[in-house]
Amino acid sequence: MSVHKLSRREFLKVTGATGSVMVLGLCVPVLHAGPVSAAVAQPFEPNVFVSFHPDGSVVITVSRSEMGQGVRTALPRIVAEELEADLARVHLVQAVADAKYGNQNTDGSMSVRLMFTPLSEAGAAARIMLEQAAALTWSVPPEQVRARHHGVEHAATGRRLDYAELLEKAAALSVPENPVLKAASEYRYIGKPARGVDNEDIVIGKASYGIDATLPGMKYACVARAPVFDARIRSVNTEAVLAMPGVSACCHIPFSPHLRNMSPEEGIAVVADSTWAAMGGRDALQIDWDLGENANYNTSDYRELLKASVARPGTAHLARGDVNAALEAPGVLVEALYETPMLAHAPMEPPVATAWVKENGDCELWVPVQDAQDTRSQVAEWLKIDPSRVTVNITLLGGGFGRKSQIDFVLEAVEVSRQVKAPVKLQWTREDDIRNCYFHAETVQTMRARLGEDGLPDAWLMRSAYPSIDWMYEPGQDEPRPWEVGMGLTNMPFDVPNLSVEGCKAPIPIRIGWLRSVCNAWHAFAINSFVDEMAEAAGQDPAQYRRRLLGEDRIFPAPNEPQPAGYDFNGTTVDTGRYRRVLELVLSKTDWGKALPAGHFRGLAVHNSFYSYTATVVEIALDDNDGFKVVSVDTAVDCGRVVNPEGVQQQVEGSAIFGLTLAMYGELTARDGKVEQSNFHNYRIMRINEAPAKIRAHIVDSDAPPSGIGEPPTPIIAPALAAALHAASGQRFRNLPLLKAWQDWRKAQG
Amino acid sequence: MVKIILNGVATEVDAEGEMPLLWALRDELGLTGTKYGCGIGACGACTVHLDGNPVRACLTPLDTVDGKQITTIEGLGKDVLHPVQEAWIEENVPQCGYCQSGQIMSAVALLNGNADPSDADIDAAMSGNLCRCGTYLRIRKAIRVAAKAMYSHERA
Repeated sequence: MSVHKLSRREFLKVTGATGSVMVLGLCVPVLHAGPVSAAVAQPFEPNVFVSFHPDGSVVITVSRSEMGQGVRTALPRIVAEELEADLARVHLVQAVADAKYGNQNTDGSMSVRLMFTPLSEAGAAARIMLEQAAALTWSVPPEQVRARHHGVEHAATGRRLDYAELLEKAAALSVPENPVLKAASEYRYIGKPARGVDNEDIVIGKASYGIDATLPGMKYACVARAPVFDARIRSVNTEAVLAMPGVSACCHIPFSPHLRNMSPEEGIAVVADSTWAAMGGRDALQIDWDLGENANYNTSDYRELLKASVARPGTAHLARGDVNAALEAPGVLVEALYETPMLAHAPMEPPVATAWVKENGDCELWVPVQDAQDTRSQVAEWLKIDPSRVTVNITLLGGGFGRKSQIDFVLEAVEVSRQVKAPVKLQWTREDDIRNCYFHAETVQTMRARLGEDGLPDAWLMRSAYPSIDWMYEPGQDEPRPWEVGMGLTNMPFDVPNLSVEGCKAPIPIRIGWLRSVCNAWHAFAINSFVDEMAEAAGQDPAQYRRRLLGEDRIFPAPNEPQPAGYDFNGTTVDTGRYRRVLELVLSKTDWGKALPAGHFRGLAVHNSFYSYTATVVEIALDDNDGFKVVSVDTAVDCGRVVNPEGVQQQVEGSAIFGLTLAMYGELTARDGKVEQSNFHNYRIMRINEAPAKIRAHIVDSDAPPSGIGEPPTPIIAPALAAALHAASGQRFRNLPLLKAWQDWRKAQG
Repeated sequence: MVKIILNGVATEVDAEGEMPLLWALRDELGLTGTKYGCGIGACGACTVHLDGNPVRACLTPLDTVDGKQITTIEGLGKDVLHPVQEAWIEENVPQCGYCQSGQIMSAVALLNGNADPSDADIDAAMSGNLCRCGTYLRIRKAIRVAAKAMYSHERA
């Protein structure tokens, strides 16, 4: 068969007729651009994000980790916008870990939110200096010149100087402290769709992830680690393993409780000259484990503990009126209990790290991690050296979803490199990833409300039981903390006169962590499901009921404990008007209330998280085999000013699939301390044949400050699907995962 | 010593015959475009072509490919991008991009035997390739775009 290969130009001609026109991304991503040449007497580097090559091309530094959420595409466009840069003359450099870049912790959907102003100012400062340099050259007042498309123009005389011709003069000027930014009406990059800057490398297999780091003399390692959290090694026999072809060493990874959150489990690393040999050696190790107390840990028992916990009053994080008295008053009582299971992130790239502890004791890393600077400090602490001696190169992440916020796998690689005195790539298998995850915690929540005569809740009691992630840092933390309850409960938008939001005891002995949208996932599920139950009890449509619950537009402070700058995930205020607008937008785009084809049903959910507001409608179709298929997902988002609408669209699509996996399939169980699932055959991820036909993003036009998009469209999927299943069956599905709940219910119906 | 035709070039691999092709490609031959995702043939990240057919390199021992033709993502569009790669860029398919080598190799195999795949054809051919970022809708669209580019001269 002959395949006609089209040139890029021909291809654009062919597809250009039908495809939408998009602004191309930055043309030449250069991961490791050389230092700015000394040909210019004094290089023009007005700040840590912007520097220039002598040819006038600009090097923009990306300080945050790329894991598919699009920061390498979005962040440089903010700089280029204010810099009036020609994107064809922009190179990207991925920053190493360094405090000079400010916060590099890539989580909490905060990259664009935190970086929009600093990067705007970085670009503007450089542009103003170039304008001043041109004005000096022409001896005209600076107000008469204007930077445009990588050069400065003097309109009155029609003169123009390229940035390349202004670098030397600009470098001698002082950096303006409060650069005036462009008016949004003049934006030409911000707000325009852009494709991913790394696409060209990705489609030819040249994009470099953590797994792809390769160094001369590099060894490969794979670890047999504690099968039960905190298990300890009694004895190990490495004799047979060391005799295996390719295996060169076995290294002990010590138990290290002092770095609780990041520390590796105790284990034995097998070092070899290929990944395959290291894996084979690992599997052949004979280790006698003392499994310890956690060998008694069962998720089924823990579920019972959580249920018992929400039967008792917890710590009140928000209290209004007298909820107990109001619940006793006459009226319709609504009550429900919601359960969500333990999950793992399962990024397509399992944890992997390449570390080199050099002869002089310095350490260099090539790692797919979400928090560069924390990695640097943890590794320095592990090696007992100054952080300045640790260089953290950030590769692309083959997915993160919160797993790569923890760096146990990096410390393992560092420890092995330290012992074998060579560069080491330490590879986790998928089984390692599922079983030694920092798990998304199991939760139980109870909701109780008494409806007034108008059908709206006069009293609402919420109790939520789950372990705090803080326990990983502070032993003894055994119930939800304010910042966690603030992800969806205390910052919920409804004005209820008698309200109590309580966090209940949930001590846990295993590792837990952050998974995309964190506590919002279970809070949004319980709140939205319960609003639907109240609507049904009141005999009202779920959409209309939400409108009435919201009432008049209000803006109020989010009742959260203040967090350090950049870590206030939940927003400092709640704007019920923005909440209402995403609701109305999704209702109108889906023509809510219209007659659907036979066998089709819909559900609705609304939520605010990471400063953004989201509303979704999920439509399902029942099939002839008592099953269902998700037909479409429509999500309206208000994430403030949008830098890259194409990126927002992608995150909405991806979050819908991630949310459907979580809603329909996601469940890990532990028995006798061991996670029972191990790989994709029993930890199910949505496949293309199960994916809906349509996922549509409806973006609110907003000039509010930019807010999160990587996580906010995720937590609304499960409650909307549960609502659709209720519409189809009349049955409430209060336990995730929903596919199992649905099948169990169908079976019970006979 | 195993001899293969790798991306059109006669290549010798000095590794154990049991070693999966995936690790031979990555660790022995330095071709890192083919990715590890599960090791059990459940995710498709390691998909390559063996004599033109898509296989999971993680489950393909080296000694079973002696004398055969292997094409990896690096060999797909050596001089000019393959229409599937062009379509992947045009439709902005990748998010993290990690699974996309395998997705593209599966898509090429589908389109080599099917000039006008239906949604069901696409779902069937691509259901072995997981994407945790959830790029499936763009994959479907990019495959249709690539099919048009590959076969437009036949329809014209």
